[in-house]
Amino acid sequence: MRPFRERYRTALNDHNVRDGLLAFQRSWRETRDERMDELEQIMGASFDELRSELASVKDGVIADLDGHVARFRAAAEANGIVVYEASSAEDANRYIAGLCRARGVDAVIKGKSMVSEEIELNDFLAEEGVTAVESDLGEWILQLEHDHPSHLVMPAIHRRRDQVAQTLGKALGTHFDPDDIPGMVHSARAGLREAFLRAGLGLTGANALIAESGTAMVITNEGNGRLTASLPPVHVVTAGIEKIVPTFQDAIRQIRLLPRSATGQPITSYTTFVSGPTEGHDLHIVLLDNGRRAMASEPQFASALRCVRCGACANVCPPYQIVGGHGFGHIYPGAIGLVTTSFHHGLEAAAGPQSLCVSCGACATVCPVAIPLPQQILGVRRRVAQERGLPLWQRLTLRAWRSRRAVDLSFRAIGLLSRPLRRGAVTRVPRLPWLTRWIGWRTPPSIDATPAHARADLRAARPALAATQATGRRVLLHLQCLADRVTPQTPVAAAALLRAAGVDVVIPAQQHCCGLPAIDAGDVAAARRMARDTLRAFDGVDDVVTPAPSCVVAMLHGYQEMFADEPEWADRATRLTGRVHDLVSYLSGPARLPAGALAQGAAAAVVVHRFCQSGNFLDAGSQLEDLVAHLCEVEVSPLFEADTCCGFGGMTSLGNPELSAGILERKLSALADTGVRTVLTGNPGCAIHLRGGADAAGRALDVEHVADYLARRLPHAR
Amino acid sequence: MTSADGTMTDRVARFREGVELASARYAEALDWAGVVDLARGLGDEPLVVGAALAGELAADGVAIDEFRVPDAKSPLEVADAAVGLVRGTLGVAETGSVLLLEANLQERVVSMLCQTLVQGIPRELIVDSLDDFAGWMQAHAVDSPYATLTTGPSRTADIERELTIGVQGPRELVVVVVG
Repeated sequence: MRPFRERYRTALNDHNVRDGLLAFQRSWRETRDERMDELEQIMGASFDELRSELASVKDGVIADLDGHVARFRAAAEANGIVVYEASSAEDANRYIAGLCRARGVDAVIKGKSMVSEEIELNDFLAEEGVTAVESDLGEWILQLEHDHPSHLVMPAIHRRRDQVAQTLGKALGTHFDPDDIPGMVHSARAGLREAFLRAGLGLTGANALIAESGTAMVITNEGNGRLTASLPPVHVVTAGIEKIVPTFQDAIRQIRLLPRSATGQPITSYTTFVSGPTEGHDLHIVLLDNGRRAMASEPQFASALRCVRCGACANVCPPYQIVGGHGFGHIYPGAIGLVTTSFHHGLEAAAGPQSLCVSCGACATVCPVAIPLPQQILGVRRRVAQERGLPLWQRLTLRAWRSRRAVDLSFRAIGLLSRPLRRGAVTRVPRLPWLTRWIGWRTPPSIDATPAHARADLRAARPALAATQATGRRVLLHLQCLADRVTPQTPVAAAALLRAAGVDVVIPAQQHCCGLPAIDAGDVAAARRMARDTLRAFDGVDDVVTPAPSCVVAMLHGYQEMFADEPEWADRATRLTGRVHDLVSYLSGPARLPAGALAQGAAAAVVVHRFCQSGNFLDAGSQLEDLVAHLCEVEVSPLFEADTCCGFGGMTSLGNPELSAGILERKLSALADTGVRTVLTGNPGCAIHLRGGADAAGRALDVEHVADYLARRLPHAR
Repeated sequence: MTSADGTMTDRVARFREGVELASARYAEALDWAGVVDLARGLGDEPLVVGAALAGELAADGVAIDEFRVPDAKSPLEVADAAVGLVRGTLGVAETGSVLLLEANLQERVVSMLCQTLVQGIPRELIVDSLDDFAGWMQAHAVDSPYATLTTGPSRTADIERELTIGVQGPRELVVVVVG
């Protein structure tokens, strides 16, 4: 496989990938949601309940892999199946090549099998003089092009119809009209017939292995899997040991969730149960470990073995939409690929792809087995950082960021020096060629020389507008390090809003960064230091509120894992739950002001960009829209894909700016389509990112943090 | 109508919905002679029927003179035949699926390779849910080495996500509830 950077660059330059995947992600989402809603009705249970059931079945197997392998093996062997346990890719390949040799087979026909991709079986067989032909249409097209899958379920999703027409035309010695897709599809029937007849061995994957009966369950749509399993005299099933489920009932749980998550079908065309060899046939099952037992032994990663290979995590992933599975993955693409690659193909292979994750958390929301993918990807990132070290720019940035004083001085200096270039909320930096990569698509924000924590109005007493449940509560305002310096008006606005709700706001002088940039970069040591300082600062108050929900996510979802081996700090982190709030949820809950409290008569409609992590980690839903409508009585226009990440992704926009720019464009287009000029968001990073992007693209959008918008409507500000 | 009839009527209605959602055609016939008539009407070539089903139909008095039964030694000779007929062992209302038990290749080629496939499923063999199906499999898997739950004709969306019906398997599927 080509090096990661090369794959990444190729993908960035191939607009077919991003255009095709954008259309795919959107249509998939619609169909998948519709089918999942139907399932919830059929079963009288929620998606979360159904996926928890399947996850718990899979967890039972993962907790006792050896026991389940033994049970499956015994049942399968009793049915006359030959079972081989392969410890590694090499081991599995040797076994299959040995079977070919023993049977005098020089041609193999294959159904879709990601395990065979994982072990790179075709290359191994080729070296042994055995030709393997893929019979899944997408896989066959890719094989003819010497390419490999970029999606778990739609392997050739990165290929255009004209490319396919050319490939098939060349292979079959005929001409195809690129717009005659049925014609191309139907050509496979005749085109592969010879390969089916020649093959002495057919190889398929398995979606589940049912232990109680020794059955391999194979889910397909094209019909090639059945031919592969039936026509040659030998059928070999390759599957990871984690595919075992105890009973048929468990397999049904998987059937209900897998096709709906994969293709939006209630069930695929063929669900085949192979429980033994049929007359005149031999049946072998190769059970592959290849790092799976190692994964099972690690508490943080074991649940990745629940994966049923539906590809849903890729179908909602914003970076995947921009670069596809060759960049966002190694052999296994998508979010799950970023995790499993490190176990199957080594940390080195995972290092590049994992750096593209923006930590938006969308993948975990649709995973039918509830794998905590965002946390696991960060876990892989920590290992990469530990073993390979961080890039120099990142190391230096994080080191400097640890010191509140250094950050203060730097931003004050930047604020003073950039003053002549300031134009409102942005800074018109000359577009020097070497800077274009970072600022060509996103105008930098203006930096005020006076940070929020040095502003007098942060402490100014204001009369409360009304009594709320938070009246009299002592609340620490966590400014957020970025907003403190880059958008200081936002924490000031947040303080004013809290005081309007009767809150006793305190702002400790020594507060700094919660550690999010270090958590996000995988720098555990720096993250712990900043997290400890943050936790110390939180002593002695009733609640902590911040205008930055990204910090809340870091504290509630990142601290626990970081302090896994420091019980005292882990305990302190646990106690944050219920005490730490983002501003929007606090103003929507305990500090809720009466309806219309900030209304100013007829006001222009607004549109809301939801911070991705607010929805995906904090279940915020439409909280921000509801709050704005409640307080200001303005029309909030609906935004398509309101929850989808804007591409800021912390350091992603610095490390992989092209990726960030691509994701941003998707968001800006959706915003522009609303025809509404005022864009509100609940997270400072999104506001800075969207504002800079809109400016660079010349889009007429006024982006602001909701705190700024609301505080402007307070009586004393009018 | 008894409540059992009501349940069955509702079950068959849901089965029909599933069949049609999967892009298959739904039909009903009073008996197997009706199914055979329907299948014969779908093409000019002789109907392809597996040996076991052909035997059962003959025993039931259905005229089978024009059937083409795949030869166990060279079953692929019926590949791409116009119309094949198979008998389902179980229908599943939840998904509109039909379970085919095909222990040998001679039987399997009918459902795998004919251009149009007709599946007859006796009304009383339609179960309510996939859970019922799981219960059945639990009891019969060991005696059914090759069982396929089929739902609609073969399909792919591998080229630019455009759904095309009919790839390696049948291009058209007709599910006939019998009785």
